[in-house]
Amino acid sequence: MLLIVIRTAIVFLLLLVVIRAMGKRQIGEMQPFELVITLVVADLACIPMADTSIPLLYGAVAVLTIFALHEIITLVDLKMKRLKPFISGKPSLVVNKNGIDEFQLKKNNLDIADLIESLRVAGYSSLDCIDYALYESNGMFSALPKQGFSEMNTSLPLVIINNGEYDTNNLSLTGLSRSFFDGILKGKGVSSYKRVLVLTADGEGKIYLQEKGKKYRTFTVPLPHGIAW
Amino acid sequence: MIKSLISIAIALVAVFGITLTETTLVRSQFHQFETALAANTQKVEEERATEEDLNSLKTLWEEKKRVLYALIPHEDIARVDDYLAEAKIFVAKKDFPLALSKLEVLIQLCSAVPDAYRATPENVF
Repeated sequence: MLLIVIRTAIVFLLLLVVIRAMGKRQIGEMQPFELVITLVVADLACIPMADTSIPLLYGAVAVLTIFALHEIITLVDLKMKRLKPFISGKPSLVVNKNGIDEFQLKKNNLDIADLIESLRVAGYSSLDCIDYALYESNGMFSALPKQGFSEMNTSLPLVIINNGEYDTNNLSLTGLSRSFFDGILKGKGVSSYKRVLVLTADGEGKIYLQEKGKKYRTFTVPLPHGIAW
Repeated sequence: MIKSLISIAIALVAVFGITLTETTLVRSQFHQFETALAANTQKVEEERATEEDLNSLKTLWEEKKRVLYALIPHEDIARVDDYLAEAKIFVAKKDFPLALSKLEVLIQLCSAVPDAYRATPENVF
């Protein structure tokens, strides 16, 4: 039976390390160790349920071990603040007053499209509606909006340039050409679209532009006649 | 916090209590059975074992099984059942060499089965 205890503890710790390594995208609303317990405990209980040749004590001991490990980790998580980042992770500030933090995005295995999707789900349709955005340690997305942000949402912004590449699908949706946006970049002193982290445009000509490693800028450009979305 | 510490303590006491009881019980059950097996093996070697001797051995094993069913996988118990049944048949037919081979396997199982559940690195991994 001590074998079951040791093997359960090893599998539990291994799953915890793996889930933490996979990052916030995979764990939804649970802390990593809670997800591990959810994954493991049902299976452990089911094995002796389904196989009558295995003593029920095997499942009971494994589940008790998981319970004890859960209680210990919860206690450590609550009482030892220095260990909390290792157990549960830390929130990641992916948008700040300067714009998108590319390093934090990459650290969490996310890209601009994921960020914008999270923003929309949270009720913010454009990057300049918010002052700060965080991915919490349980995978949830939260944002601090700018004052009066609801007045900013008048047209849906589309991602035109994403991490140095034109998004051809969105470009075709706008009805505008690459040369139009190349002209905008040249006017703002950006030498190449490859230097752009993100550029979004909405149907009223509002542009959100952030070069890699620089603060974001917003401005409005007149759209060619008949272009709107 | 007190509640958490108490529940951790209870869970750990339960877990390690059960493991200690299991280790002790499994080892003692198989040790007692092995002792009886050794005595019968000597009789089979001397070709004076009877079917009654093997019936007594089987009765002893049935008592041990009642405890072991709750502690180890039933396949291991079934293996002992099979070899014991074969040994009994060979003794009844007075085929002592074959009966001896079955009993020797049973003696080997009496140490192999408890060892398979010890907390050693080979068993853990």
